Amino acid sequence: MRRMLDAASGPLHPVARETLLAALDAGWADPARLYAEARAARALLDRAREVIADGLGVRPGEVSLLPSGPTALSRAVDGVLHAARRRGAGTVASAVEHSAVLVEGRARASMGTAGEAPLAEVPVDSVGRVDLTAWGEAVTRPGMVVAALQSANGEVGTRQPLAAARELCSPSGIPLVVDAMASLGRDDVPTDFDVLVGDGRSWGGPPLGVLVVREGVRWHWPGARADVEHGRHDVTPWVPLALAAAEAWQQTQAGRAKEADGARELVTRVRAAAALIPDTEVVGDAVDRLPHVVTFSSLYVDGEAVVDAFDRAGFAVASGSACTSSTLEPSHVLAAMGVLTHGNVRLVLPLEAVRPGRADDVAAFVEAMAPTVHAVRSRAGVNGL
Amino acid sequence: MSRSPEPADAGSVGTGETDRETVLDARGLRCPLPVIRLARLVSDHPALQEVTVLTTDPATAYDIPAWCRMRGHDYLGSRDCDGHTEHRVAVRPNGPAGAP
Repeated sequence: MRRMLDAASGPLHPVARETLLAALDAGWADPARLYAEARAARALLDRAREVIADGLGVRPGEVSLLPSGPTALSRAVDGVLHAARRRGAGTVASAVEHSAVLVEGRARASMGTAGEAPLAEVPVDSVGRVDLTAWGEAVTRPGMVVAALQSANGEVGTRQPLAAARELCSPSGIPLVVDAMASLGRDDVPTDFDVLVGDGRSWGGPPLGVLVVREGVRWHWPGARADVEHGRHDVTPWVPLALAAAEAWQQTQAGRAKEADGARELVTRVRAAAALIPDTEVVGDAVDRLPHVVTFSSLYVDGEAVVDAFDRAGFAVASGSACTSSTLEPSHVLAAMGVLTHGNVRLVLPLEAVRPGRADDVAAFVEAMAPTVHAVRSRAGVNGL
Repeated sequence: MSRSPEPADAGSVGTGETDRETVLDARGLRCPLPVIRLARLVSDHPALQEVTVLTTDPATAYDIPAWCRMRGHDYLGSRDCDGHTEHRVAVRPNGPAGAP
């Protein structure tokens, strides 16, 4: 029996899956064409956009749909940078932001002459929360024109203080790009943003980037085609994906408070059980966090070995340890927090509607945690070290 | 892969080898092995006061300080050398028991 405890990239909400399959027939046409099927596809796309905009508390004209969340995040920052290019080219971001922000920011900083397009990586504390004093200092540096902060981190679950961070940006007139790719559909929709980014996967939908640029925010993308996605992308989204994402959003919103309470309770149990494993650190804020994400690191344990051991026992879990990544670099989130990066296990709970047996799966995992870590340590001969 | 040298036969770095100071060559090892070697060394040699760990795995930059914090030892810092990194650890007597 497989127990799916890594829902970062699916599977789809069952109703969204049905919608996607139906939309393959009903919404395949290019919405830009003028014949009947195309007009039908246009109407479906408009409807999907309205549903998402309504859910996010914004206008449909502020919402663009892009191929993926990371693409939308990258575009979100680029659009602010381009609009502000006469004032500067600097980016402020927390050290735990998505790599779409940090890797591209470092690339901009390393091209060109020194200091032309700086990236200020603002440190976080040991639970992963941004240092607001350092943030406030960074956004007032000359040449800083865009700031990026997550609503909550998708690896460790810690929420960020968006209202305070945005208030610190406002005297300098710096728009705040909020990356809500981990939280939409799972936690309250952020309101403290100038530009917002989401990913259909976080609410049980297919991969679909959502980019919200609030009216009045200075944002421009030079590659724009005026008739496509409000000038924020050059390709019209595939209508079946947009429909499935909108359907998943509606499904998820229906019982979100109850769903989140359930996930929160399960994560609390995993945190308590992990804390009882010898030499194990439970990572991230215990309270001010996403309901469905939990991660812990066990000393002397090989990340790949522990993921493999859980897999063989039937559990699909993720890890931020170096040996589990293709780059052999540990998670930059764990590194920035100064916590142990090896022996890391991460759970992203699926929605209960996606996995009705979720509570049983977590209960079985809680039972398996300590013996599995012990077995991996025994094989390495490090128990009691 | 190099095996962890005993204090007596480890290559000399800085002030040289004594039963209180030693060098652990963990170059070429990937986490968690450098931390495991370090923990074994400290556990096998209670008189040790300072260990210099040579590593090539980037994860050791985070995991050696984290181990120090969890075990109550002091991480004194690191410096990049030719192709590897040198970490200095001050060993606290009864570190595990004294860990917070």
